[in-house]
Amino acid sequence: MNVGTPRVKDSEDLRFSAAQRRLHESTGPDDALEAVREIVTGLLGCEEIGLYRVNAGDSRLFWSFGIDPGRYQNLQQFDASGVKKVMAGELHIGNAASEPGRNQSLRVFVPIRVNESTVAVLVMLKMLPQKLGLDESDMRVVELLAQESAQYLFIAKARASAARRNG
Amino acid sequence: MASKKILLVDDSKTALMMERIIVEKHTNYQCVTAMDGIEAVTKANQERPDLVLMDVVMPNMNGFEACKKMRLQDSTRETPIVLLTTRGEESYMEAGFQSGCNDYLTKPVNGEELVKLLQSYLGE
Repeated sequence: MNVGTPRVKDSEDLRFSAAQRRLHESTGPDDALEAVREIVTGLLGCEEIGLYRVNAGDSRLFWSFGIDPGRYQNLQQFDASGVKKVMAGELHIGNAASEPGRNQSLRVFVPIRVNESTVAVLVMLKMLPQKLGLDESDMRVVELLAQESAQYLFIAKARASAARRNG
Repeated sequence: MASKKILLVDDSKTALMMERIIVEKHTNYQCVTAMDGIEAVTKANQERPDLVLMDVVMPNMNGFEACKKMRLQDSTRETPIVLLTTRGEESYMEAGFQSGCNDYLTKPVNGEELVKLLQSYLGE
């Protein structure tokens, strides 16, 4: 046995630790968006991203990266059963093959939750072709985004706006 | 004996954090960081790292250009430089070797692979 070789548990916690620390140390909503972009592109392997704000049953594109925003304005254009599932707070994994010019890339819908409510949906529109599924380590990072990103993306901004209004 | 120093260069704070976590958790090396090629060239000259681990795609000055500049500075002419490239971009690593890098790794970084590579240049 080579006792000099370190045991580095990549799949267990490195990506999760980096993602969590990056999100927690974000300096405001814009930096939180940058953190989400870095996590999704660098750690999960997707370079086409849409973030949809959900409000009273309506969903509008709030921010995007690597896509034509005009083409993906709301969630209603995606598979209805998948959208229903994600609005109910469940992760949905589909594929991009139904669109012309798309291959069999994964398309992942992540509910961004506050308590039990879905306040936004992060859509990873096209995972890198070598990404054939989400493993346990990916799922930990995805769950982190689902559970914790709202407070950095939206709540901090809302608190700051309220504080400004209240003088 | 002073611990070895690594200059980590990436425009993604997340990538820097991940590399830093790997290095600090699994080795005794120190880390300093830079977020683009220009900063990397300056820091490499000031800090005299024992190794540079640098992303290729960065704003202001990319990894290839920074690598070439470091090879022109006396202080970093011989410093091992490892470039990081996204999987699928390996084909243009020929340009990386022409710019003077010693090695490359693909992103996302595999911790065990990174530590082994660092140890192969710096010892344990």
